[in-house]
Amino acid sequence: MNLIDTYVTEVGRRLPRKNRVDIEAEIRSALQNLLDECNQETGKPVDDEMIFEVLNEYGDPEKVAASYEPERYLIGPKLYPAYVKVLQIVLPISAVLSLLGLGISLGQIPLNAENIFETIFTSLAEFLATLVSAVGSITILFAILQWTLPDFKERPRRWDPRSLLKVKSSDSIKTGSVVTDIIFTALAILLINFFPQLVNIGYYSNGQWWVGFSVTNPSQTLATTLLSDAFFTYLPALDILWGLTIALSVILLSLGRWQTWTRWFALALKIMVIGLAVAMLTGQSLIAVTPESLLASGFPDPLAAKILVNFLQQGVVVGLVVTIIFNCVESAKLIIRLTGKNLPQAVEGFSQQ
Amino acid sequence: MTNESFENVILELRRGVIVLAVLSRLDQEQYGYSLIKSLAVYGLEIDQGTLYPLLRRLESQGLLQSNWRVESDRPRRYYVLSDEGRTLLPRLKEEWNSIVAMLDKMLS
Repeated sequence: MNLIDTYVTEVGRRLPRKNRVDIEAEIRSALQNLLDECNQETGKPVDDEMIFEVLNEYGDPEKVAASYEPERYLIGPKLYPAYVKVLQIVLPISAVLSLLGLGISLGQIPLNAENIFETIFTSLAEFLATLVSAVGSITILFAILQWTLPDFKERPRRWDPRSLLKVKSSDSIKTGSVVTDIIFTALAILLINFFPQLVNIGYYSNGQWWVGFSVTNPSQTLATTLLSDAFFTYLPALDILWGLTIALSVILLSLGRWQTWTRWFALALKIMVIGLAVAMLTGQSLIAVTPESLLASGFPDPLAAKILVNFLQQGVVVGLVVTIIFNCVESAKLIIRLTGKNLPQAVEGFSQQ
Repeated sequence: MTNESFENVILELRRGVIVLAVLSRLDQEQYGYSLIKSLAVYGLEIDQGTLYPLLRRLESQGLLQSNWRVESDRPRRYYVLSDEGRTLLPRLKEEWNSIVAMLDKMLS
């Protein structure tokens, strides 16, 4: 194989199969023309030196091949911002969940130096694996979107500037949801602090079960208190959080819009919620009821009692994990918003006019 | 403006006019190398790595058509304006003239 063939093959192997032969033939022809010209100009026969010169002029095979192809990407410029945003939300959550897992693991083993290091290293390895897996999955998902929705993303969108009038400022508050927050938080404070006996578990005389608030009903039999003493040790912290939540809601209602400091306040609250939920998740059971206490109260079926208690325990775990994930997502959003590029104050003032 | 920025701007400007220059030379069929020579006569230097992909792009857009022929023992691909290209060229020239006139006014 001579140098020209090698060069053409080098270009060709980087080209799509469809046009390869044709482009290769054209490059070969172009190179031959260049060599002819050199030959005529210098009067020398074509030799390796002349071929090197011509190939040098034609350029790097990689660049030559690339010039025949449109720019290709795994995730295009239109999807890239969404891709980055998803990563910015998912990666901190993965980090928090891994820390949570580490906390739980450390809580479950006898504490000595060897155990602690082993658990930390295992958790670190798991964390890295989770990270790689999360980034990989998201990348694959976006790559699939990129290649399966080409028409969707290329279609020019009709845009009407009047639509800007419908866009709500991201600083505006939803009064309805703030008021609902206040009402439910106040109800929670009242219920847990002053009427904890209302949160109960019991059964109907016909054998069916209920969990929740006891109400006066002759067909119900009060079984046992649902919440454990361990739960009530968290009550002061819960009260503080609920109190601060109501305070924030009232401030938001009076200000009428979000401001930087209220966002920091909300972020601090969410971090406290995450901390408390992690403590509850890793601490003693929040549920007082056990299969034995159920049976002692007259529950007829031991297997059903076990299942019911298990269901309650798992329900609490799921509830706490969902709370943690939700607050992590909300915190991540707040952090991104609070640490985003700020306009100089004068410009910011102008842009808000 | 640094030399590099200057070169970049010039490159952008030339990139915009190359398509029109190439189309204007292809009312009669030519192969790549002869086209480079005929553009060079007017002072427009264009390298092969730019020209051949451009010719293929214009062909895929329907503005050119091509065929392979063997001349003096050399297989060569000849390009010429397609019907669509011939219809479009006068309009492109008009557009170009109005751009030149507009910029002349702006820059004078």
